[in-house]
Amino acid sequence: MKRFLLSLAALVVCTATPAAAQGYQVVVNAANPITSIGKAELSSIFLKKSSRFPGGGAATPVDQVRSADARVAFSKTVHSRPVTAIAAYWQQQIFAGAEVPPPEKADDAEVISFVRANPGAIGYVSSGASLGSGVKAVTIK
Amino acid sequence: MLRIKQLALTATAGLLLATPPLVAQSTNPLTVHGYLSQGYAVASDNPVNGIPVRGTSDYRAAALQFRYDLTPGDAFVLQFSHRRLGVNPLQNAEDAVTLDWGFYQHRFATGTAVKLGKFAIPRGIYSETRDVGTILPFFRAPINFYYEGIETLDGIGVNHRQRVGAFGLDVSVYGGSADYVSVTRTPTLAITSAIDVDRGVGGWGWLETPISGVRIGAGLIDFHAFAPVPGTTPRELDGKLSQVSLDVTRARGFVRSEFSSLTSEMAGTEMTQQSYYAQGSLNVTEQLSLTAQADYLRGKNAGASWGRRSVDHALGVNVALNPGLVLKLEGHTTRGFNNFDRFVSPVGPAVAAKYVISSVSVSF
Repeated sequence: MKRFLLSLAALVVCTATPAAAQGYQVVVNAANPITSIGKAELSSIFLKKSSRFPGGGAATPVDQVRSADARVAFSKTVHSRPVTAIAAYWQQQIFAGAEVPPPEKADDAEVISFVRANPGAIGYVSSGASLGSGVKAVTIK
Repeated sequence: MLRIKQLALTATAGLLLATPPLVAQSTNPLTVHGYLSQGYAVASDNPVNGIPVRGTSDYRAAALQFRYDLTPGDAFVLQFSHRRLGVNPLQNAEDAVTLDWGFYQHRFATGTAVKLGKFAIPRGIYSETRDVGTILPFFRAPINFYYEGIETLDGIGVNHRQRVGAFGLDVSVYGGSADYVSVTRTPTLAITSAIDVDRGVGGWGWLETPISGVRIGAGLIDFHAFAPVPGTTPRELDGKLSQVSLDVTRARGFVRSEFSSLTSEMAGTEMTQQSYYAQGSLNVTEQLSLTAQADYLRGKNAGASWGRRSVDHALGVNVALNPGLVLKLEGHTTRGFNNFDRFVSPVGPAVAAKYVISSVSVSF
């Protein structure tokens, strides 16, 4: 019984973890009221198919450089496509005159700094990154 | 004129070198993007698609795009292009550098965007990116389907993107005018003439399904044009083009197919032209892909039976050293009456050719 309860507690903890087990965490400005976001909505924001958060409010996505571990993991789990496929998607958008990709930041620190300075920003950083004040993590539904 | 073009090209080359080669938008509101596809092509039996039997490296498509984001919702875009088409007489009717697009776009918070100016017509999978070699499976988009026709519109366009539950919608409507150059062949002459579309109204929509990578598209264009007829005054042409598209793109490859029907009336004669193609590609590795394509065109006058089809079958190998640098080798067999660089009667014997294109495509 005790073992069963411990296993159940572990399962609850794992499912509540904000994507830390996936190698990244999604972060927004601390003033943003959202606490979670669906994977499809998150992908839409980063592909600029949607410019607003599900509950309203302008969304400003920020990526990391293509070689970043967090980006590789984010692309695989949120977009369900590798980084190279997303690069091809952006070529399509650019040369159709539609959109340009989100800004690319070199590392976690630059992403956190950008999100802290922009109320509508949303980004992702390594799962172990220290967020500091002004930035909070959200869960992916 | 040549000196001005040289100076312009030099200046843009300087700007090019000074700009970091990135795909992402920086905090700099001015971004520069471009592409170049350089090919060497050779045909057998008959010259086709500008490719002579002796071969040619005068086969190229390039563009340079300048985009200035005044605000996150406002952008001004200019794109210049250059292309060489081998022995196709079309290239003699075009300037070395042309203005592809020049438009202003405002995107509202609702997800609706308005474009004013000259812009690419949203139609199908490849219409807006038909020369961007790094994202095309072959040197160009399917030739019998996309041919050399209207690519841009001078007017206004409205686009709206929205998620509806598990579906995604991307809908565009547009209206304006356009012009393009066509080639009319007689047994002794190849005549290039400008077709003036003085009214074009249309719409296009993509539906992204809940199945990852699967989308369906459909659209319609209604237009009125003045078409040149050698030796007489231009004739008026009324036409409607309808199209459906299917795009299934997954990590291991893609399957794509499109069908279009063009009905037109000129001088009391109704004509119908159907084009369709299918492509399949397999990503053998992240860098290596193999693609096959079958591309068809047929036409008829009202009340008559379908004429002979033009067919182009192709196999290609792509090596993507990175998303911005792709090497390609493709072989085609083509048969029918379309795209040959010599007169071929639509009602006479079919003409056939094989051609090979090796190319390098870069983009940034």
